[in-house]
Amino acid sequence: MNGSLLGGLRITAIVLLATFGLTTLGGGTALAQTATSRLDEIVKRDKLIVATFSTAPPFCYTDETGKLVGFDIDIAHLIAKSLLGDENKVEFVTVTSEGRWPAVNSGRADIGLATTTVYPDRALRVAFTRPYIDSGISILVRQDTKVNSLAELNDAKFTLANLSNPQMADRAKRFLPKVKVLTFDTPSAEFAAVKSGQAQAMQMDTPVLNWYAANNKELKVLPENLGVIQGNAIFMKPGDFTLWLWADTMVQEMTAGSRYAEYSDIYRKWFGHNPPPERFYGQPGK
Amino acid sequence: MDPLVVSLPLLARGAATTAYLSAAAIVVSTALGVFFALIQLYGGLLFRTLIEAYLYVVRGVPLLVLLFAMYYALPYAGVQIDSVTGGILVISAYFGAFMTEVFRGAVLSVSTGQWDAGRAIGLTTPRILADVVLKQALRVAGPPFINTCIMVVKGTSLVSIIGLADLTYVGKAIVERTLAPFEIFGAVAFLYLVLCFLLSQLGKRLETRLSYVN
Amino acid sequence: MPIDLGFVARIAPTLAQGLATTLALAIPAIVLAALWGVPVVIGLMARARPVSVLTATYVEVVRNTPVLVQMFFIFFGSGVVGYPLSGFTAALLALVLQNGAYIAEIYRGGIRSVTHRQAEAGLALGLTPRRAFRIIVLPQAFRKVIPSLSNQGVLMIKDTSLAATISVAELTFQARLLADRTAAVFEIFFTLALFYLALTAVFAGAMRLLELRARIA
Repeated sequence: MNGSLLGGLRITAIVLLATFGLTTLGGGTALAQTATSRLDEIVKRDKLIVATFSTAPPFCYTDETGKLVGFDIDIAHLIAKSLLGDENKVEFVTVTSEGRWPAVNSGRADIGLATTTVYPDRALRVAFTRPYIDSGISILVRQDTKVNSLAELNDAKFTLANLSNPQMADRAKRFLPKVKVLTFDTPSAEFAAVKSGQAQAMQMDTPVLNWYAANNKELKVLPENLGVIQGNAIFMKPGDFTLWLWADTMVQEMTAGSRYAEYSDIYRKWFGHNPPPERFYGQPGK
Repeated sequence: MDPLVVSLPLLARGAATTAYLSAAAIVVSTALGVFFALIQLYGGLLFRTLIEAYLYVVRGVPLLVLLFAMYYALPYAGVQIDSVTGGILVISAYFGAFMTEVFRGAVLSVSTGQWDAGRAIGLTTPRILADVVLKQALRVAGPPFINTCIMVVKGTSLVSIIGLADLTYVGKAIVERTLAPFEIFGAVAFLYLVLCFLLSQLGKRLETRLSYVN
Repeated sequence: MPIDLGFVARIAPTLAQGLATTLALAIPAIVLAALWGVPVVIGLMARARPVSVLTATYVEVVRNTPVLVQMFFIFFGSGVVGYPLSGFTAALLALVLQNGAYIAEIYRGGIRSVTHRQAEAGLALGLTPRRAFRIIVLPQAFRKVIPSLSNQGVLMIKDTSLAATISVAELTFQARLLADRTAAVFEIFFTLALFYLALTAVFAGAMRLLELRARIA
């Protein structure tokens, strides 16, 4: 009896010491982690790692030589130049539509620049900066369908190409309940389906569809938007305030501050017209 | 033919990625197969049961689901792994089960007479295995091993679904851009055929070399 | 990480829808592939060289290219020539063409494994070659190939997961969509794996029953 009592005390003592030790250690490392931000890592590494797509023109896609180009790509270069002094200090990690969240949350990439629209339910899992470009959701149709509005398209004889994310599925059900739906992983697959005639319409971000329509005369964008005002933003792992503040400040400077000139150049290059106007206190020097 | 000619460099790069992934996965899955087969033949009950469970799961779950689990679910557990390494590991773990069956079946197929003869001249089990049984087992294992290697090559095509730029991914991207599925996928199929043909030729070469031993 | 069973119960209906599509794809695919294997094996064993060479080429091409590429080929190809097939049809076609070739090889192995003596015995008893084949060789061959057919069937069930890439709303497709909606990726993929394990176990079990009954007969 006495022996087991002593043994019990000994075990309790060991457990208490162990728990105390582990919590101090664990607490110590937790403190250490919140002190360093991903931003410090980026600066130390001297390279920015960006998660992006390779199939969403004109934001992020590969040209015939396999090189990654697009509006988002150029914005990433601009950010690298502003942070690290050299626009080439970027490494791109191409991901799939659902793969963009794990890419930043797992630490594989620092930030994500992937024609990503801000939605509240997405904000539960990643942190968004303010939008760096306005967007909307539209429908692209083939001219030979002779369809001019959403109402006309809402017919069981048409097939709509969708992207494989829940927001697209919900919108298709809400605005075009009668059409058949084909779901693909990438905007380029949607486009291929429409171009070959397997689908007669596709749902995608308005700037993307405008680009497709501008480059393919047999396609046109319907006038109604499915999502009227939306924004594409940079996203990153939540909880890192330092990283987020820097990224958000960067977006602010690009769209409404010191980097507006470079931003406008990139905007005009890909969209052919000026971005939303900013206050000018003087003429930009040539 | 035009889109094909222009796309050849891209397709070549995709083929190189596929070849690299296949080679790595073949090496790792073979190693796993040998290791697990030995455990299944000579290991203790605990390890044998664990391997049985692993074989059961891998046989019943699609490779694609395992790849998705690695790609989407693992990051939430805090595991940071790049797609290429993760892809190779998952594919190797998957085909490691097939390899285990190949090697175990091969060793078991060697008649017990060989074991008895070895013991009769006084050899211990590991020595019998190494000197007598192994070469005969390897000869039996040859064709199914090559078959499994070909399955590995075909299995690497699934990494295209998690965004890795292998031959299938590159082919699909080019087809989406050019809408020339017959030429491009024809070329893709041809390149896979070449890879698998090279593998089976290698296998035949190995088989003849192994039969020289006797 | 604790598994939230309530969550699993809530996502089960969506996954069940995907399961229904998986079954709707897998069962016809298995049956059709088993049927398609018959003309293919006849072609392989044909005495006319052009026929056997052509069939052998088809078998080699299909066995050395990934089924994913075959699915894409049929799906995009059909759209480009103007007769677009649905993702479901394209996936079904690809599965039947690919596995029919493997099954033909299985049939061939089964037929070969029934020794000549059996067929000769039949001839000695006065049966015509064709009847000898049908009454003596075929039933034994059939019994021998059931395990291999069962294996192939399991592989086909697993390959249906690839159909998601050509827009077939089967089990894996639904799971991916769910994983994008919620953050509970562990629960979802765990449940997904369980579904497939159950499916393949049921199928393998059924084939085992078939094998036992065939043996008794």
